[in-house]
Amino acid sequence: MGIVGVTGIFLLFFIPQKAPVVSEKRVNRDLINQVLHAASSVLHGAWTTPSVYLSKEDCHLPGEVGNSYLECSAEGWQCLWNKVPHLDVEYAGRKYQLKSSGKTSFIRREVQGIETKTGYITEVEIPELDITQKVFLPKTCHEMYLPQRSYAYGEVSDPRDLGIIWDNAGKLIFIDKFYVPERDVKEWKEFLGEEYVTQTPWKPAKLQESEQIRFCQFHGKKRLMAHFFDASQMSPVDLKTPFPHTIVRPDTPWQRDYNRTFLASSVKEEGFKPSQKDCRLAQVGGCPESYFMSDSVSWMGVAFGLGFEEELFYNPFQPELNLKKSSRLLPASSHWHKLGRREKSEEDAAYAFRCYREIL
Amino acid sequence: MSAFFIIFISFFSYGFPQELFSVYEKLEVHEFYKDNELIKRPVDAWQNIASFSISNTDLSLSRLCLKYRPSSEAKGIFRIELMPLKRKCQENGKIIYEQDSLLGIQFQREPEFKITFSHKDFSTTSWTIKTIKKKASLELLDTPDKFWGEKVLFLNDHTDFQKLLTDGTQCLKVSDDCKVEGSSSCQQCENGSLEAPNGCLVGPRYCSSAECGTKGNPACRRGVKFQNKRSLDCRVDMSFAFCKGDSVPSCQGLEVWCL
Repeated sequence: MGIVGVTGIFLLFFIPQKAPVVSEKRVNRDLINQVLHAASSVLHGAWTTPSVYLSKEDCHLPGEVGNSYLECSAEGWQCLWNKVPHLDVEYAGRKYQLKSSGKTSFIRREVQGIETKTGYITEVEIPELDITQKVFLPKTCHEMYLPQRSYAYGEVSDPRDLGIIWDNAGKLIFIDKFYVPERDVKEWKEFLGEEYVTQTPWKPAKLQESEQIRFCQFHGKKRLMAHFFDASQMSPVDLKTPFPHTIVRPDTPWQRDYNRTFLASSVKEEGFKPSQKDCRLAQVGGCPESYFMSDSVSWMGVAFGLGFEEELFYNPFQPELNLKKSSRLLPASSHWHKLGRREKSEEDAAYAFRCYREIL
Repeated sequence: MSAFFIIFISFFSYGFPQELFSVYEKLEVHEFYKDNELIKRPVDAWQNIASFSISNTDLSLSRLCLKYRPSSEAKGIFRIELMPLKRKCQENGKIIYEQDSLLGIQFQREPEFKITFSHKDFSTTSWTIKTIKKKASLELLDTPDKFWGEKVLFLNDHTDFQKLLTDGTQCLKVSDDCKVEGSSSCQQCENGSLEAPNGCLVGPRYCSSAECGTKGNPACRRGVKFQNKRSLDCRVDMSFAFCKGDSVPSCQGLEVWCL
C-alpha cells in the first residue's frame, strides 16, 4: 500500500500532463484573475482600435486602404504586436506587461456555447505573473445597430406617395459596415479546405448569389436585404420620433437636398471632375480607389451608400430589383447615383455584398 | 501515508482554480442567504451556493457549481464541480477543487461575486469571481458585443459536445398572446434562424438556412408599428408580413408562412 501510494504521488508530480490553457508557476491565482480582468479592456481596445498604437504604414498597407481594415482583424493584431513590445495593464497601483506573439487562429463555433459564432484565438502573456492565457477575440466590431424605427423602402415616383413603409420595432438588427472583403472569403474558403487566392485582401469580394448566402450563413448571418440597406442609408428627419406618420426619402446619405450635392453639380458642369472630398463621400467614375474608409458612413454607421461597388442584395419586396448600380463604374452625372434605385442583376454574375444578423 | 496525502491536497487547496479565470456568466446564487452571512448549517448536508458558466476552448460553455457542506466542528468542505451546461448543480459533476477544514463560508453578490472562507485557525481568505458577460442596452452606432456583453473572452482547456440546432428546430417560443416563453436558443442554430411573423413585437423563431419569404419558409416581417392598426390574427389581416415574388402568404396557426 505504502509503495503504491508513494508511486502514485511520484507519478502525479512527474508524468507529463496535457498542457493547460493557462500555464503558471506562481500560486497566487486570485491576483492573476484580477490582473487578467483588468487586462480585458486593454485587449479589447487593442483588438478593436489598433490605430491607437500604430499607423497603417507600420502594417505595409497601401495608401488606399483605411485604418478600419486593421480593426478586429488577424492582420491588425499581428501588426500591433510586431510594433509594440508590450501593453501596460494597471492593477492595484502596479503596472503589468501584457505580451503576445500576435499569432491568431480562426475559429468557428461548431457546438452550442457563447453567442458569437466566429472569431480568433490568440495567446497573451503576463511575464510578472508567469502566465500565458488563451483568449478569444470576437469578429463583431464592424456590425452596426439599426435603431428600432419605421423606415421607407426604395423609390417613389411622387414624393407625396408614401410607398412601401416598414418597421423593425422589437428587432435587434446589425448590418455589416463594409463590404465583405476578400480576406474574409479566403478565411472562409480555407476553413472549408478550399483554395482562394488574393493579393488584395482589402478589396470587396465578388461572389455569386449562392456563395454569398453560404458565406453569411457560416458566420451565423443572412445576406443583407435591400430594405435594410435603404434604412441604413436614408437619414431620418427626426431621430427623436422613431415611428413618424410620414417618412421622407433622401436621395443621398449625406445631403437631403440633392441639388446641393456634387452629383447634381456634375450634371450641370461640363467636364466635371469629382474632388477628393466628393470621392470620400461616394467613389464614382474618375475617383481613385479606396477601401475600408469611414468617410462615407451613414447616420447609423454603415459605409458606401452610393458609388464604390455594384452591390447585390436579397430583395423580398421586389426580387427583380436586387442590384445597386451606383458605383465607381459610372460617372458622377449618372442617374443611378440615388438611394433606393436598383435594377436586376445579371444571372450568375459575381458582385460585392454584405451580411446582416438579427440577435435576441 | 494518508496524512501526507492530506497535506498534499491542502497545499493545493488554497489556490484559485484556473477555470475561474474564464467565468462567463453568473447563473444562480443561493436565494436564502443574505450577503456576508456566515454559513454554518445545516451540518453534514451539501448545498449549492452558486453556479457560473465558463467559456471553453471550443467556444462552448460548461457549468461550475460551488457547493458547501457545513460541519459542527471546523470540518466544513467547499467544492467546485464541473459539468456540462445543460446539467443542474443538484447532480454530481467532476470535482475540480476541494477545500476542507472550514469553520464556515460567506459570500456577497455585488458588485462582483465574492466568497470568503473562514479557516479553522480563524484566518480568512477570499476570492472574487469576475464575470465577463455584462449586457447593456443598445444605442446608435453600437455593435452586437455590447448587447451580448461578450467582448474579449478568456478560455480554459475544457470542451463540450452539445450539437448545434438543425434547421426546423424552434429556437424561440412565443405564445399567441405574444408572451415570450423561456429564453432564445437561436444563437445555437447551425445555419441561423428566421422569425415566423405572428403580429407580435417578438415572434416565434425557427432555425433555418433559408431566406425569409421564400416558398416553404416563414414570411418576411414588415413590422407592427408602421401602420396604426394592428392585428394579432393573420386570418383577419396579414399586412405585418410579406412573401417574396410569386410565393403566397398563408396562415399556419397565427404565423405567416409562404407557399
